[in-house]
Parts: sequence; structure tokens; C-alpha cells
Amino acid sequence: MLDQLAAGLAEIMTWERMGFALLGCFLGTFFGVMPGLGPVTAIAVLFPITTYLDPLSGIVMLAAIYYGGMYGGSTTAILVNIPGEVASLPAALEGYPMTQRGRAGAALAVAAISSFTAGIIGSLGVIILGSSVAHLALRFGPPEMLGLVLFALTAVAGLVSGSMFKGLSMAALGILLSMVGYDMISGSTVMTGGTWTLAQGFAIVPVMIGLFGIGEILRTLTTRGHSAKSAPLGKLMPTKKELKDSVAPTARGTAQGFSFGLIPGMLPSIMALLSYSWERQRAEKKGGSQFGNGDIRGIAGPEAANNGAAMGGFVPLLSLGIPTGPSMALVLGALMVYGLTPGPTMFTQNAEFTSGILVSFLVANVILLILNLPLVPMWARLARVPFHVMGPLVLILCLVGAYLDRNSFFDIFVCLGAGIFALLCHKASLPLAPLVMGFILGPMLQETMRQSIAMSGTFYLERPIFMAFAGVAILTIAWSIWRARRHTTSLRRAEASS
Amino acid sequence: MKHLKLASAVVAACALTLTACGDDDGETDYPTEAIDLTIPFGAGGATDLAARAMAEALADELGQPVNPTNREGANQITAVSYVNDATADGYTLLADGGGSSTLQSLLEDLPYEWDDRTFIARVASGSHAYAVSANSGIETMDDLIEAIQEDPSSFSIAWLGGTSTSDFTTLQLLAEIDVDANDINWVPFTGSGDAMQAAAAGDVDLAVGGTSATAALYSSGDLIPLAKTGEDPNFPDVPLTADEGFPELDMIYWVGLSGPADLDDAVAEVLATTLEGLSDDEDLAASFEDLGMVVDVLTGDEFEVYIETEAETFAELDGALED
Amino acid sequence: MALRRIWGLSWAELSATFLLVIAGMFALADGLRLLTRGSQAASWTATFIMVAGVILAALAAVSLIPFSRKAAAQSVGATVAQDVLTESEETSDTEPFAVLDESVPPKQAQKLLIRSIGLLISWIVLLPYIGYIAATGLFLLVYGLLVSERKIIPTIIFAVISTALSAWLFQAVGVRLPRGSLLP
Repeated sequence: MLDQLAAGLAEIMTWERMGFALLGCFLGTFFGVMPGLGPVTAIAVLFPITTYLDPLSGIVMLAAIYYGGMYGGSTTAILVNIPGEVASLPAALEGYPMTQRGRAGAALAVAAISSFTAGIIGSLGVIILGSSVAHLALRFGPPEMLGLVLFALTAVAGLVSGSMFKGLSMAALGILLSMVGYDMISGSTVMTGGTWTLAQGFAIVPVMIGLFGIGEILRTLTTRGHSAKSAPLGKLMPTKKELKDSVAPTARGTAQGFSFGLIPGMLPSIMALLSYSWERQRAEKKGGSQFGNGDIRGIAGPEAANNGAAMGGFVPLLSLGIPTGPSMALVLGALMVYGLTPGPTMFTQNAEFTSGILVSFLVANVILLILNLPLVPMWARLARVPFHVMGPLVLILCLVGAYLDRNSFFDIFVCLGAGIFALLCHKASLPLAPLVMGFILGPMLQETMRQSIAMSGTFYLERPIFMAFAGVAILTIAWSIWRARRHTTSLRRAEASS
Repeated sequence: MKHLKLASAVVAACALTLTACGDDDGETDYPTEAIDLTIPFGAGGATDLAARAMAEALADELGQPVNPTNREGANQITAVSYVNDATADGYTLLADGGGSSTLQSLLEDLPYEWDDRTFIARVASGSHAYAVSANSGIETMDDLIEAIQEDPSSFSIAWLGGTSTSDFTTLQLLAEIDVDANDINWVPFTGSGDAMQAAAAGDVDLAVGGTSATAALYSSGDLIPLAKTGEDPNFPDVPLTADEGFPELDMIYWVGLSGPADLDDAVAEVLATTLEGLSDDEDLAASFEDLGMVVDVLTGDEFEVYIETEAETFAELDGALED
Repeated sequence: MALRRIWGLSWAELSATFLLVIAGMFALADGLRLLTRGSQAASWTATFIMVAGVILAALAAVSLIPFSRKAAAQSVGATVAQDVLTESEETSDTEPFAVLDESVPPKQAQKLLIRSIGLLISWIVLLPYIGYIAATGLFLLVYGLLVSERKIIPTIIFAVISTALSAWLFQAVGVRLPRGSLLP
């Protein structure tokens, strides 16, 4: 284990790769600081550029972008009270009051330290769990993978979207979009309307950039005003009491985030909010709660949970090739563009490469901690630059990125179309996460289904692991329908009482 | 090594001058600018790397940059169409292979004639391996044949959709041992990597793919390549099909160069001669060896005959399959 | 904007659902076409896309009818977020912030959106003719003046600098940008 890590570290510790990690942290934070944009957008927009590097440098830079994006999100939340994305809501709730008290520096430092801790512990968790899951995964045949794919799809459709109907129909749309083009297995063109342009199919890169890049940026550009108040930063060093108070929440947040993050559908943002809620209840029970007025525990816990869940998601991604949510789906897409297929072999055949990836997480965390904290004043100023200055340029970068994947003008149109569709979905409150999951998992669903049936006509009765996954998938559907019903009755009661 | 390279460059230059002098009409100073090499796959795969190795060697010899551009999609048809429709000045070329040429002869609604292009050269080739799980009890080709013949309908073999030379390597074996391909239990896969994984796990009884696809699982002891269809210096221990008594099983896959149909003969000649000069290039041999391939240059009429024969073989083997 | 709401549904909900149903129908039709080809492999694919198409169209349609809209909750994330916010409003001294606020009035936003998309489409259409540098410079200039409504001089400076910088950056990483047929 340790020698694997050392080998990985040796791979990463070159001037060139450290330079890319630095650049990635900088660019990721830059995107994260922009109000309304988060790590998912940062990855979507920037990863076409990383594909021009050798795979390991590309991954190093991508990891740095991802972490930078998360870090930048909480910076804006704490300093100017604009949570760029849902995950940094707690940071705004507790961090901004601290900013008003002149403790902004301390809030930022605690946020950085707790997510650093969770990142480090989470990376170690991925290394330990990942290789053992990968060993198990060698026994995962097509039926088991089919069960896992079904579970991942229903979990994201049920948890991330409110209505199971909408979630599943968007997942079906994603699956269909992934099928468009030339079907290798049957040797025929599918849903192309007879044109050879569509026979190229929709590539992952332009679709992702469209949905999460163009869509989000256009929305931010056209709906978001830009009146951010400035506040003094205060001292960066947290007081002893602040540090002592954040130790336990950080530990709890890391453990909760990492363990729930292993499950498809439990996104980092959900874990951050749940951790906030739990920390608050715990503090209120114990008495002395400052929640709502800048309680440091409400920053430390959620930040750790957010980062821990992000790390947890890498276990099923790297060992089984199954993403737990949209950002992991994007990372999967990136890995495939690099020519790597995540799966059990990542920890056996490509062990050196995989330890390189994991070390790059550690490196990104360290860089962010020691480099970004001193840069906080700069980020604070940047957060106040109106987005419509940089936004148009970012839009162009998105379209260029879409073109570069296959050097195809068709892909530029696909990208813009996906962006406009994402805007429409937002207005119609249709969830994008199941769409992405369906798009990424569609080919795997079709392939494993065919393989399972070819292997045995009654595979679903013979494979206990498949049966377990299918059972959990059905339970997920039932649970989310039950939750929706309960929600409706509680609404009705509220109406009746008022 | 330097000397050899120099020598081959000199030889190439001499050959060039000779052809140029011999044929006044075809005199050309090609190439004078960068050449765009279209690769019909996505970046990162073994075939992409092979095409890039070829591009690099070509650029060194020609003294002009050769820029590889990936145009993936539609079973390589997008890339072939793109090159077919490009100006035939020799500055847009295709990194060709069986999948983008001879195998396309089997497709029904192709937007072009599959052999309506200038085949310039084959540069390198790789061989296939028949692989089974280490736990299968099968240890030789004879064991394998016995197992297939015993009950073909319960014998499962990985199938890549008939769009890859690997599938035809399998069909060649079945034809050789008189087993009806339609009786076999085919399990579909989209890549030979996944297929090898499934064979190692015992989910399918046999997988066939390029020798390089078996490398990792072979070295970890999970997979046994029973025989290889041609030379691969990376696998000295795996017997050749010919040594096992099956010289007929000789399917290879190749990487080569082709251009639009009305490409100027003089330009094609320059490229062919340059590539011939590369057959002894040690650097090129080394970079192909890493990919499990050997430099195996074939040009001119010989290459055209090779292409025709390959297409005929595919058609014949494909005929054994019902839809 | 008279058609803003039909049966309590916004135009966006209606048109998005319409698109989804059409997509499902298209998949169904294409599946039928594939079935007639008769090959076993094709009929498998056909069945697969037909099932997906039916699920897509049916669930999209069902999600509009009042029964299922009543049964639809928010996503888990949104529910927790709302709980968190209501709790903190009870205790917080600071002004409650608008979460992910949309501070531009809808009419204005719509105008900006249409202009942005129009400009992006012109960039795409012009790209094959005038190349990356000219198209991008022009786009940034017009966008700054027309959509962001900024002053002329800073807009020109920004457009020139960022076009040059991005083109140089792409060159440095080894990216080959599309070149125009009229201008390089």
C-alpha cells in the first residue's frame, strides 16, 4: 500500500505536473468563485483542455480543478453571502455572519482546514477500500454490473429529482441520447433519421459542456445581478477555541460524508446539508448553539462532509466504473477520453496510474491549503468582478472545447443545443442529474443486459448479487414515491391549518 | 541506430530522385506544407497510438509536420467520408486499417464505395490471440477445439459485433474445425478489453483479440492465450497457431496509409517510397513493439492484392453467419 | 404572453414535456423501422430503444397530470435546504439572503438570453469563414456593447486582450484551432 503511494508520489512530483496542479487549482478556484458556478461547471468547461496533456498530468489537473471549484464556492459564500451552489449553503449561513463580525479570515481558514482534513482522510479511504472492492469486483460479471447500473439510475432519479416520474423519464432520455448513432453490436444506424451526421452519435464532451457549462453560464449571465458588498477580511488565524470547536464536527462530517458518499445518489451537496442539519441539532441539544449567527461548527462539519462525500464517490467510480452523481459521471467521461476504462483493473493492471490519481488528490488539497489561503484577498476581489465581463469569453471556451474533442463542427451545435435544453429543463424543473446518468450508463446498461441474457435466459434468478441490487432499486422507487406522498399530505395539512 | 536511420534516409532520398527522374510528368516537390492525418478512432487507444507512431516517423522522413487529428464516430465512416471528400492534394490522408476499409465491404448502406480510395501502404501489423480463463481446464488449442465441438450451443464466445478483425479470427477457427458459427452462444461486447476481462472471469468460454489486449490479464495469471496468429516479440512463450498445427489461422490487423481516390500518383509514390524506407527503422520498430505490433511495410500492387484478398476472406467468413 | 399558463403549467413545462414526448415517439418509430430489418441483433436494439422511448414519453406525460404533480415532492437536496433555511430564519439576526437569487427581472433576462444565444449562433456560423481569432474578437466586442452594455473603450481593450491571450494559450497547449477559409 505505502510503496504504491510512494510510487504514485514520485510520478506526480515533477515540476511539470506540479505546475499543472497549480494551474488547475487556480482555474478551478476562479470558476468556483464566480457566483452561480461550481465544481461541476469548472470540470465541464476545462477538461477538454486537459485532454491535450498526457493522461496522468490531465488527471492531476482535473483533480485540482475539482477541488479548486469546491474551495472557490465556499469562499464566495463566506465573503459575499452568495452560495455559488447548494453545497456551500451552510458556508453562507454561518460564514457570512462571521464575516460581518470581522472573522471572515477565520471562517475561510476553518473551511479550508476541515475540507483539507476530509480530503486527506478520504483519499486514504479510497486507497484502502478501493483495492478491496476492486478484488470483489473481479467476481462482478455482467448480471451483477447490470444490477448495479439499475440501482445507480433509480437512486439518482429518486434522490436528486423530486418526482420519480420526471427523474426516470429524464434517465430514459439520457439512455436514448447515448444510443443515437452507429450501433456496433447490430451494425445498423439508430435514431439518425437516415443522416450520416447524426450517425457520429453524441459525444460525451460536447453534451456535458453544453448541459453544465453553457447552460449554467447563460443562466448566470442573464438572470443574476451583480451587487456584492465588500467586507473586511479580518485575521486569517482562527482562535484556539474556534479550532477546538471544529475538531469534532470535522471528524463527524468526514466519516458521514465518506460513508454515505459511497452510495449512488448521495451527492456531496446533500451530505453537506445533512451534516449542517445534524450539527445544528446536536448543538441545540447540548446548549450554547450559535447556529444562524456564525457558528464555526456549522462550517467545519458540512465542509468536511462535502469533501468526504466527493472522495467516497471515487470508490465505486474507480473500482466498478459506476458514477454516483453528475460530477462523478463527468470524471468518468474524462477518464474515458483519456483512454482509461475505470473498473476492477484500475487497481490491478493500472495500479501505478491509480495511485498517481489518488496522490494527486492529496497534492491538490495541500496546494489549495497553502497556496489559496494567502490569495484570499485576491479571490475576494475577483468575486466582486461582475460576471458579464468574463462570462462571454468562458462561453466561447466552452464551444471551442466541444469542437476539439472530435474536430467536428457538428459537436459545436450539439453543445449549444444541450445548453439551451438545460435552460429549458431548469425552467420546467426537470432534473439534469438523471439525464447525465442515463447518458453515461446507457451503453453499459444495454451491453450488460444483452450479455446477461446471452449467458443465461434466467440469470435474474441465478445471481444473488443481481437480485439484491434489483431489490434495492425497487425499494428506492417505492421510498421516493412514499416520500412524495408524505410531502403532499403535510402540505395539505399546512393548508388546512392556515 | 543513428547510422541506420541516416542510411535509410539516404536510400529513400535516392529512390525518390530515381522515381522523380524516371517519370517527368509526375515530378513533384511534395510535401511543401503540413500534412493532416485523419485518425478514425478516439484518442488514447492502441490503434490511435499506432497511427500516431506512424505519423511521427513520416514527419521525420518527409521534413514536414504530420498532424494527427482524431475524427471518431459512426464505425469509422465519418473519418473515411471526410478524407474521401477532401481535396486530393496529399495533404489530407487517412490512417487506414482493416476496420476502416476491408471490413466495411460487408456493410450494406455505406455512403461511399469501400475501395474507392488510393491505398498507399500497410505500415505495421499485429496478431490475434485465442484466450481462455486460467480456471477453464483448457490448456492447448486441441483442448479448446474439443470443448467447442463437444457442444457448440453451450460454448460461449465473446463477439464484438462483426466490426473487428478479432471476430473474423474467431470465425476462421470455427470454419477450420467445421463448427457452424450459428450454433455458438455469442455474447456481445464493445471492446476486446472487456471481452478479455469476461473470459478471465469465466463469464465467456473464449475471447479473441489483439495479443496486446491479453497482456495484463496474462501476466496476472488469470488468462491463458492459447495461441497467437502471428509474431509478437512481447509474447515469446505463446505458441504460434502454425506451430500448433493450424497454419490457416493467420488473421492479422494492420495500420496503414491511404488517401482520396484521385490522389496524384506522384504524391502516392513519394509516400510509399518514404514508408518503404522505414521498414528497417529501429525507432519505429521499438515504438510499435510497445503496442504489440511489428513493422510490416507493404506497398503498390502487392498491397492492393493484399487488400482484395482480405476483403474476400472476410466476405467468405461472414457468409457462414446467418443474420 | 397570454399563453403563459395552461392548466396551471408554465410554457416551459409544456414545451419541455412536448419535446420529451416527441423524442420518445421518435425512438418508438425508429425501433419499428429497425424491427423490419429482421436481423436478430437489430431487433434486440430495436426493442431496447422502443422500451426506453415508451418509458420516456409515458412518464413525461404522466408527470404533467395533476395526480402526479401533487405526488411530486422536491428533491432530497432541496427539501433539506429548505429545512435548513427555515430553521435559520427563526434564529438568525442577519438579514435572510435570497438563495441563488435571480435579481434580473424576467423580461430583461429573456431579452438578454435571446441576444446571447443569437450572438453564439453567429459565432458558430462565422467560424468556418473568418477563423477563431476574428470571430471571437468580434463576438466579445458585440457582446460587451449589446448585452453587457459596457463602455466602448474598455470593451475593445478586453476583447483584443482576451482573444489574443486565449489564442496564444491554445497554441501553447498544442491545440489546433479551426482556421477560416477567408481569414486565417
